[in-house]
Amino acid sequence: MLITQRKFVIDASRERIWDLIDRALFSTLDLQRMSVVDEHNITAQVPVKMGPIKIPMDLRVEITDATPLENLAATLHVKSKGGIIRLSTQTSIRLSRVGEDKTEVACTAAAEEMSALKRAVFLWKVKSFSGDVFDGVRNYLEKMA
Amino acid sequence: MSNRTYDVQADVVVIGYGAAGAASAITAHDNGASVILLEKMREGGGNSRVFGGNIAIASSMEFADYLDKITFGSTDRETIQTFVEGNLKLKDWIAKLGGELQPFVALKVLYPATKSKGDVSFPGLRGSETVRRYNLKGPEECPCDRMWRLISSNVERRAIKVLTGMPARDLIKSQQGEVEGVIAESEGKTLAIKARKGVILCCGGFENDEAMKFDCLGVKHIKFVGNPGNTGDGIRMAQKVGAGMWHLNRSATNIGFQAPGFEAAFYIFFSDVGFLYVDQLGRRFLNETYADPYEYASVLSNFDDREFRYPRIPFYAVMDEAVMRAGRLAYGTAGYNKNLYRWSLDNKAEVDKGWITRSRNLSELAKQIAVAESALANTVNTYNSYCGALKDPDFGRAKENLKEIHPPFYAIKLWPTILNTQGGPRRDKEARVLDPDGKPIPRLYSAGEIGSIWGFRYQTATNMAECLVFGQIAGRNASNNSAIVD
Repeated sequence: MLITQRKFVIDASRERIWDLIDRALFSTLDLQRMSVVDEHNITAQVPVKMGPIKIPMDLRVEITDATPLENLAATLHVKSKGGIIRLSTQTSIRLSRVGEDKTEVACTAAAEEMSALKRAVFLWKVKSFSGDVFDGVRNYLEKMA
Repeated sequence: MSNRTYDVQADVVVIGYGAAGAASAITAHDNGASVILLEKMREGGGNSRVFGGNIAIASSMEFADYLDKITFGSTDRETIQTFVEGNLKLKDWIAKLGGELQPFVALKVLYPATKSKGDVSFPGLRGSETVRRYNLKGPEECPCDRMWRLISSNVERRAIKVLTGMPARDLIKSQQGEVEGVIAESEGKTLAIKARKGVILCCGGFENDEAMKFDCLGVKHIKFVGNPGNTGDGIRMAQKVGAGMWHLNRSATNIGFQAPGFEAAFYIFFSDVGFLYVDQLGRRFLNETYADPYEYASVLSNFDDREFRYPRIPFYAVMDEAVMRAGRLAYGTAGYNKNLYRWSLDNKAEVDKGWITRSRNLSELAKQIAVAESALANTVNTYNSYCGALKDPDFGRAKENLKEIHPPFYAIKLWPTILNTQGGPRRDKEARVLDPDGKPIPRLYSAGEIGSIWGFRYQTATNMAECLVFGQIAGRNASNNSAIVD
């Protein structure tokens, strides 16, 4: 189920964007207590804003694709303490060359099919979280590229 | 033949049960030889059980051009070609053992990071685009554990005789100059083992021999993260039977922390870029966020002849709360300590232990790390101003890696740290150990880190590849010899 999309162009080569992309994603997520389990799996805690407060959630980032210069894809598995809330989002950041030294960055987030209840309670949060992450990636790349 | 009496016999005796020893033993066995595999420590594995877990595999013979360039004339082209021929067949060999490789994904989430993001250590050189890094698929968290499980299970399946806790002490040479056996020792008892066809040295290097490290690497106080059993035994044994040496001064340097009570050090990485290094005079001395093992080696080994000390051994990493919260400093999936100690995710346990110091301000920090306060303040304030300007004119830290640090400050003492050494008895393309004139010592072979072929610069993940390639070559050649007849 597609939930969020962002597309933007950065004034930098694909090589430079590729070099920065994982850092852009991880710094936007504001990871804490990070542990690199292996190169496909990273666990951490991530603070998720729920209304006025930030709740620490357990996150596992499962890298599903890292094709150099083309695509970085990961499944973000989020779980609250106690496991009451469990969500997985497939995130993909695709790079395309645009002209000489510009790169189009296409970000998509898709969630697992949700029950009506889950959708009612969490869909808005997942959408805003993904949107915030992609906006953060854009800000980071615009600043650092 | 010598006049010695032997306690046990086998066609091939392999000294050292890591990946190279296992590959040698498996190949010799499959070639019809009886094999005894000696291991000094109580369990096998050596560095093969604690390394990064990756293996470099090429896609074409052009890889030989690349390796030729980076070994810089220290290894003959024939041996390099032989390695690459074997390297190209490694996927199939690993598949025959029951393993499946997956491409390694190089993410830049830990610092210091390699300058080149990807598989190749020296990009731009001819043939560099042919290499990729892989590791084994498997349920184990640590890729090195998956490799160890695969190769040790294949040793067990073949019922190859493995004697652990049995360090080899000497090689036995016959009057004709052939290596015909090994003296091993356990709990004060000596065992003389006859090798009817050959002996293969797979016992690693000398990273846990302080005198040898100083003599060969030229620097004192280098720590190691690998197997404490690697004390140069095989090198001394080979020297005693007339082996020539090569590559003794080669190693790849990272940074690590030596905790009290631990034989091996911990590799240290930072999950956030808000940190810097200071030497004993409170000064920065390199780009902290990029890991160049050769820059580390030359910069850290700088010796002050007036003060008669190494001003950067040890040095300190200074960081703030953000780095401490971001993730554990010690690399969790490699190194000898990975099964001995679980570093806390927020590093607080290590603060409690005193491994990491906490200071409320720069003045306190300077006292904690015994550095002049004015120098330290100048360094930190200058660094923070560079962060504001997003430019580091001193050491060229990239703008995305410039992040201010603020009190409270944390500091950890660090040393130059290696996983393994590369030098030892020189070998040829047939894995035969050579004397100083380049003549093979009959029936003596070697594989792996003990005299590896990596004699100048090192392409990451090729030590394991070499263990497996030359392990097979040594196993095959040793077992193809005619047996010494009594």
